[in-house]
Amino acid sequence: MTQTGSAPVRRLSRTSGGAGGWGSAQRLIPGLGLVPFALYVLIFLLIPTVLALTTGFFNRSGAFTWDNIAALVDPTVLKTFGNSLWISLLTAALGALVGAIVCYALLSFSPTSRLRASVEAVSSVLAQFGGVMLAFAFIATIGVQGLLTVLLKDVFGVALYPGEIWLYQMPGLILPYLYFQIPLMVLTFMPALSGLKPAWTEANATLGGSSWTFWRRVGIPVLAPAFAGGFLLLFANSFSAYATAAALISQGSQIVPLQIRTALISETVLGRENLAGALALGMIVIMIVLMLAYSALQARTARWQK
Amino acid sequence: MSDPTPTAQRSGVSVHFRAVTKEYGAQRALNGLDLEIKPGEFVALLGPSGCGKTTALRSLAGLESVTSGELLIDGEDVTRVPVNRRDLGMVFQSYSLFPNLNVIENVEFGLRTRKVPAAERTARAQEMLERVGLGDFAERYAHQLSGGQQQRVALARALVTRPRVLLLDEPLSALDAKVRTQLRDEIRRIQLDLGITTVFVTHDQEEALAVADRIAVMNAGKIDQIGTPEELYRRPETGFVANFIGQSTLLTALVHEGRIALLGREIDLTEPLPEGALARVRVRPENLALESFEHGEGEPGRVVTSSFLGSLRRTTVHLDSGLSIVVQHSAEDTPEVDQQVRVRLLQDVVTAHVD
Amino acid sequence: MSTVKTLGSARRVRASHSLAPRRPFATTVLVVIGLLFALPLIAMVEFSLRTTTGHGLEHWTGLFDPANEFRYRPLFGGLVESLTLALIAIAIVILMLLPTTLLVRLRFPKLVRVLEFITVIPIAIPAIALVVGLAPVFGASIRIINSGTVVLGLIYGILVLPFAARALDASIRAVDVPTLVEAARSLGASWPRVFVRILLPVLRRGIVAASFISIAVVLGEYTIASLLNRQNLQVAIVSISRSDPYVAVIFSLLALAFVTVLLAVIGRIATPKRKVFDV
Ligand SMILES: Nc1ncnc2c1ncn2[C@@H]1O[C@H](COP(=O)(O)OP(=O)(O)OP(=O)(O)O)[C@@H](O)[C@H]1O
Ligand SMILES: [Mg+2]
Repeated sequence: MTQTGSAPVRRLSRTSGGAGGWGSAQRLIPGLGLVPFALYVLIFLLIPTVLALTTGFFNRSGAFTWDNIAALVDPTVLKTFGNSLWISLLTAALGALVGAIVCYALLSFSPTSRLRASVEAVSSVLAQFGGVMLAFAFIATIGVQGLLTVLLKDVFGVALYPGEIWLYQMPGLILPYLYFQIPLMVLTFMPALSGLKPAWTEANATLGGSSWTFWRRVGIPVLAPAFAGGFLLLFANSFSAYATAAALISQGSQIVPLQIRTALISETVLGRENLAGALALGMIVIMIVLMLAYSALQARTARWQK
Repeated sequence: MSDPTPTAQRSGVSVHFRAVTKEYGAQRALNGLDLEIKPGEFVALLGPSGCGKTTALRSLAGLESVTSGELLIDGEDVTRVPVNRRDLGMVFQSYSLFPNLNVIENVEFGLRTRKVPAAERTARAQEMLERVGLGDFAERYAHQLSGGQQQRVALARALVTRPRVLLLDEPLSALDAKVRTQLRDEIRRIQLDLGITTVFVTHDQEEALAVADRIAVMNAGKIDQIGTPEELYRRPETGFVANFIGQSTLLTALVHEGRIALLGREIDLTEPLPEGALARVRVRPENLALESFEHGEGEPGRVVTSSFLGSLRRTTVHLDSGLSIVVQHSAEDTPEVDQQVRVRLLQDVVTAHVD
Repeated sequence: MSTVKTLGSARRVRASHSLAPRRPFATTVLVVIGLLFALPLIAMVEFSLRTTTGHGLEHWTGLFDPANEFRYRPLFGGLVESLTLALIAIAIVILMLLPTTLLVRLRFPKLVRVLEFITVIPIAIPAIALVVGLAPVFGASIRIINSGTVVLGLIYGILVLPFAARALDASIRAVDVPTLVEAARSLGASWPRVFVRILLPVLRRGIVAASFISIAVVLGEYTIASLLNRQNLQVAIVSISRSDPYVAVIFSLLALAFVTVLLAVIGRIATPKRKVFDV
């Protein structure tokens, strides 16, 4: 055998030995490499998560109590959860709908067009544009001295706030939330919509179907999981949003995140010491329900998806 | 609404392209295309990439609007009829099964749009699935099928409505060689069974030669020549066609007293060419023979390559006169590279042109 | 005349098989929604230009006026704090998340799902809920580490996990790392050499994308910092907005512009698929 002939053979046997015959020592050393990250995640993610889930079951002195959990059915707390749910539902539904319409409109432009690329780029920025900066943007727009408020009054004689100033209350959250929800929907839904193959519509047409036939029997069923997935993502997104509300809402704790803040910074809320823990538990439970709904949805459509 | 005629009795309809032109901006994909297809005929549209085959088929289907010209189906002008009312069946190159519907629902799709009653719908769909050999696959979804199976379902879906014309746009190009020949022969069998007029787009000449009644060779948005596979093979009318169908070598020869000298032979011309002109002659590998250098006749040369094709061999010979030429011969002869050989012309009749 | 006719027929033929809406409809939708979305941005700019007498650059120039230095010091302090936090988060991504992801992919493929699960937890648990559990951990850690900035940076490292992991994952998938490593190893390269000479250069795009998205997340973070009483950029903007709303708006605009640039760069090299939650 020549020199060149033997080299690949040797190389081959070494690789196969490495892959197949790991001794425990060979596994142990790389295993040690996982330790720092595992410890880090344990301390800064898993322990806080467990604490967030469980502190509600204890009072300040560490004794077990149902007291905080019982507060979840307190009318005030129920009302807060109700508020959070409806604002999330409303902004998720509107955001998903308008976002889907924008995606649909974008279909009439080529996927490689400048327009589509820039709408996607702008969406990825605006979807990130949450928090307090967003609150300032809307105060500058429809605040008492906002650009639009002033324009409407001076030019059209229309008063944006004939009564109370709703921007600083619950309804004031709707427009700012839509400002990040719609772009988020565009980002999540566009890939699904552009995944509809032209061959499907063409097959539909040659088989005698109209546009409507296509949407009813193929387009909508194929897109439904992506739409529902986008909706759930938007819902979760609104539901966990805190900063915009914190910067906008001047009085009261109408939604759960604001209620948690109040519970965290005051000694007692509704006469209870660890209400924040109970509220966090409630929020996380709702988020888990959303995730389960999402995976149930995936399972339902899995029969025809790869 | 349903069509009561039993499938087997239904004879095909004629299809007519009349001076069809299609422009994409400045690009002319079809350039005054004329093509007449007889009822029940299986015509292959053959041509190099970008010559307009797909465009021709899609224009007939109504998926593209033509810039000018007319399309007739069964004598009726369909140029302005929308695609969903042209009553054609189409199988696409890319897999086009609806992913959310299973196989039988896919096949039933066209029957639903025609409001065929449920019982008849299922029966017809099932019957068509049996015909393409997928009777047991009714409940599967597209992603659970192989490429070949998906195209069979697409074929069943296109045929179940008993369309006037069947259009196939390279339906086999994504499949591997074995499935390709198998499915190609099956398509032909079913087409003959149903007697449906069929237009089959392909860039694979072997495929076209194997299944088509007639082949239309397209070049730059027009039909260069249309004829039976035999006609195209034996009597190509243009250099383009000769080049495209089968393999051949282009030789040049001087016309002298109604004859030309080729590979050491004098050949009579069937049609007169001007005296003294340089004729371009196409010679196919099977019209040549390989002879021994010492004892044979013909022009001498050296073997460049030789490839084994099963029952026969093709050998490229570099002639001493400077040309390379491909010769087909029995697989029993195994010339070696660089061996000295002679190449002889077998036939007296070859096609010659003067440009 | 003939062109008009063909156009008409083209539309009729097209309608039944084209997915896309008519161009005028599409354009109208996009223009209307585009204008509505531009309005708050225009309003912010206009607001930042307001002066007692009309419009001018007063508030913008005032930002760099030494006379105002004392007033704006917390704001610049918050900016520095946020940038430091971003650096810590990036360090965690590169020094901990990246090696772990590679190790899991190459040596412990069974743990891929576990790692994926861990990296999505910060999305599933709202920051405002997590902060309830973070507060005691913060208190305990600060006694050991003795730097609020470092501890908060470690927390932010967790917050950026979902986004950074996704960016890294995309670039790891794109190059078939296992084959690459096997090839390098079979040629006799040592592990550290493989990491530095092969993997880092090949995964450069993913690392840059992960770092930029981390900066974007950290610069926008308000929830945890405010509830743990740390002065980062967002907290500083909120507190100054009470006395000087113009500067708050200017800083918001600048932060937005900066994030736009970061994301534009990421868009060039990889596409982020999900939003940074309203943290
Ligand atoms: N939508 C379009 N826009 C612009 N030009 C097009 C379009 N579709 C086809 N063409 C052009 O028209 C010509 C014919 O295209 P066509 O698809 O009919 O070719 P083909 O013969 O089917 O080729 P292939 O064998 O590669 O499928 C090509 O030059 C192509 O570039
Ligand atoms: Mg084609």
